[in-house]
Amino acid sequence: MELGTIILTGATGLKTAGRRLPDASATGNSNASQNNHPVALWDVLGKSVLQRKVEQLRHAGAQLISIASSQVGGSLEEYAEQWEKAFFDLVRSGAERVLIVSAGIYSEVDIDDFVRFHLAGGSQVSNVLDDEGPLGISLIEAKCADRDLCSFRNRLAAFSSCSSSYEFKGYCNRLTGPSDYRTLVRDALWGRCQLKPDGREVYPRVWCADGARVSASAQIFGPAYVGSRARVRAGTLIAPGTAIEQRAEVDCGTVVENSSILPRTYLGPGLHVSQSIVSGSRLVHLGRNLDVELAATGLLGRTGPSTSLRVLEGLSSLLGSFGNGSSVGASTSSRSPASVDWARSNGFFD
Amino acid sequence: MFQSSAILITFPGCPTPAEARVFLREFETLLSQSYRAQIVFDMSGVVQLDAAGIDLLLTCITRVASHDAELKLAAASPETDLILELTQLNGVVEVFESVEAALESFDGHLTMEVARRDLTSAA
Repeated sequence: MELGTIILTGATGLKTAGRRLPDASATGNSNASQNNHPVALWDVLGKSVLQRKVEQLRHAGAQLISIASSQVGGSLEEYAEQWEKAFFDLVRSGAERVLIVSAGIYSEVDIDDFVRFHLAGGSQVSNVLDDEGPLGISLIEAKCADRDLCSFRNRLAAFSSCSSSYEFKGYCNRLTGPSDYRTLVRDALWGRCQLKPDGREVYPRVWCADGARVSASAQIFGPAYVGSRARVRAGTLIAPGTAIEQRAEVDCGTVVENSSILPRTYLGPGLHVSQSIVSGSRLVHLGRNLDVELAATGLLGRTGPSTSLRVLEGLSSLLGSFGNGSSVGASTSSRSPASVDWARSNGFFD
Repeated sequence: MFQSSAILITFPGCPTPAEARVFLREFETLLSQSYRAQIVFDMSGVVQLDAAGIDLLLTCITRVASHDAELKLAAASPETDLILELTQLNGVVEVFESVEAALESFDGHLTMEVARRDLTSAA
């Protein structure tokens, strides 16, 4: 039995098999379109959801995999044409049935079991649903594509009315935006889903991928993840729930807690990043519900030291002039920004 | 002559180098003419601090400290507030939601005279 698979990664929603397959931006993820990447393409502990889907499908025996994507701003019609073309290509290549999977939703559906369900039911089209609706997984018989494209669309709509539904009760995350993305990262770190960090567990619930460089004076409290070729410099504090994705860099003395630092992002020294997703100079703060571009501040970005270093130096001299424990102009109690001293005084160092 | 009133200053979030120089010069003069000055930076006109704004704020904080004065920030936008958290400057100076709240936080504010100053246009 040849199972062809189409993975939809596009930025627009798509109606297929009579059901709406939501993906990142279709369900209101403005950030996805702003970054020109659907959430499905963001790294989650070393690999994107798309990569993980492809691996899962190959493991399930899908031999022919086609990925249909559309550029941000592309029309629904263009997107539909793309995956329909992929569908016909797979059928011509010998696929007896085609599995269509939206990478915009992370779910732990047992594909083998779903295929068995479809075969047993004898329907032309089967869809996966959970309590909240469709999960963007449909299985379509190749017979639906034995005519021209127009006919295919009509027939698919007709078959959809009598499609069978496979009810799924397991873990699912619809990845509708940054908040869902962080939920997935946290669930994976805390072992609440099957998604495994792409790396070695060097301490209980602390994973490091190949080539990760962590300073001896950095502190990491699990669960946390440091990706491939990521760099965590001296005096840094990585608090629970944090993922430093591949090639990201956290400079000296910075505190990162309950956040995701996306690939190739540089965090300047002495910063305090919490409840955020940082990609380059863009920061999404989930606690404050803010999405801000911080390139002008020079605090974070993709290269080199920046304003934050000057802030750190300035504050160091300020604190030095006052000595330990003094207040600044009778304002709130002073402390150096995420400095080693602060971390040490709060018991973060052994 | 020394003043004892609170001083409310409009802070420029994205100053040009020239504006920053003028601001600092006037700020320094103001500090030197005051005894333990109580200063509020009104940030309401700042949408988002840039690198120059952060540098200027930091310099002001150090000057305030060296003159034994007191500085509070007021009415920062959510973006500015986020930058203050990110740089941890919110651990060094108090940040208030409004100018009134910042002024009220000074001791004896009810009898205090408040003088609003715009240092960038002082030149």
